[in-house]
Amino acid sequence: MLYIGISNFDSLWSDLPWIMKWNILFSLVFLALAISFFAVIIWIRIYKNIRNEKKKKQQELLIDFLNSFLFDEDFDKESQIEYFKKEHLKSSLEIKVTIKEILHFHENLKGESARELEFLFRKLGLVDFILIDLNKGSWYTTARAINALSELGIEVPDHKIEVYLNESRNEVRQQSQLYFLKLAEENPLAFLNKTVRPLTTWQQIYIENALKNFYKGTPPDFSQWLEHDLSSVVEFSIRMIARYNQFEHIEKLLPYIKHHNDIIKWEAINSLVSLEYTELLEIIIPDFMNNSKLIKLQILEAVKLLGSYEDLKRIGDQIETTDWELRIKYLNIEQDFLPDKKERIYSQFMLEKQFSI
Amino acid sequence: MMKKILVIEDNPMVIKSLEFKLKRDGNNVIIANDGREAMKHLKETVFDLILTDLMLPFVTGNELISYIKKNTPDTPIIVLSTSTQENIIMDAFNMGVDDFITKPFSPNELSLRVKRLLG
Repeated sequence: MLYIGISNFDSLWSDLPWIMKWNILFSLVFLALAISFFAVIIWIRIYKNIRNEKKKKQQELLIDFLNSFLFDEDFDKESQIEYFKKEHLKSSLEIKVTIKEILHFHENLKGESARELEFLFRKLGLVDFILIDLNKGSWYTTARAINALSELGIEVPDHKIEVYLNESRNEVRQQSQLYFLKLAEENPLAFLNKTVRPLTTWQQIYIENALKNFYKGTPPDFSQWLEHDLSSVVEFSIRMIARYNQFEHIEKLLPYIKHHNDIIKWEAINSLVSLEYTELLEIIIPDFMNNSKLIKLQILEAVKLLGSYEDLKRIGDQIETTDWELRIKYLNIEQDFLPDKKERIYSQFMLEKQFSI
Repeated sequence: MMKKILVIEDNPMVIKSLEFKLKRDGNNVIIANDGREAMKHLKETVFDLILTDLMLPFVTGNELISYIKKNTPDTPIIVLSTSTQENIIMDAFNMGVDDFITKPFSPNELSLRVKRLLG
């Protein structure tokens, strides 16, 4: 019967024109592809659902375990840690979720509870998993591992993190900088001496924030990085000198108001204004004309904050009548100096604008 | 008698920890995950203490504080917030809150402050 069927099919197939044969063949190939595609999608969905279910179960277990560990005085810590380690840290998913949850708790708690979590992290042997992650090679696992080390204050030999200070990925560089900063007891910015890649704006913000909120020691002498090869480090150091009121470095900042790089020049003027160095005006006002618009605007700002109406008038003649951005800034400052003449200044401005003077 | 505490917070981890700790201290803890849910509880029940975040979905912490101060001015309020900005803390005190705790927080310290306010 089967033989007859196959021989019929053979004769039917051989009788078909070649174009039909190709059509059938392609249809079958595409049908197989479509079925496999759907099977893969369904398989991924089922896999993700199972994984999410396991993740949720582990999270719920951890919330109870961590709360009991932290707040229940009758909780037998030693035996419960051993039990948890043996029963609930078997798969890599369980380990990942546990690390993430402990970090999440640590982020929100401080004092004794935070110290207890650090102790628990070590006792569960999670540091070993973090060190494996550190050397895994993918940038996100490395960044995550360094982040966990710095969040929990776990110290590893410096060279293990130093290699990431100049990594190509910003995120990895940023985490390694924060690691050194958060764990430092003194000289928290020593890593800048080993940095050869420019600091991004976000990195500068994070470093400043970590210095303010995590570092407890004496603030570093920021002038030591004024000669750094990277302009972003110089710019950051100039800003920090002002933020930390390091008045003793005013003299060292002065050469930077004549720097060829406008960003550094801008930062130096801004910092000297913050440090209320009034002599600054005698240097920058006569040189007003020789600057870019960015610096000219900053000089006007410096006059507004440190100077008088007389100082402002010295700049007035140096502003071109058609340069509206500078003129508006100038007139705004003039209004601040002469509030009673506000109306007159405004009318004058409108008149000048009308006749394009 | 068990004291009735309303915890208004949207971070599940913080909720669980506060609930666990405050229940261990012998309090009756009611949770509201957002401002709207909190308003519902406040309309139905009088609480001995309210612990609230400032950044909440639907109804902000400040709106809740105004409502509480208008309707049950004697109910002590503790603000639990991530903000360390002086003006935000000052605003909260000007509205009449009794205490301000910044996150990350120490659960033991929080427990002590709650006990102090519950008298």
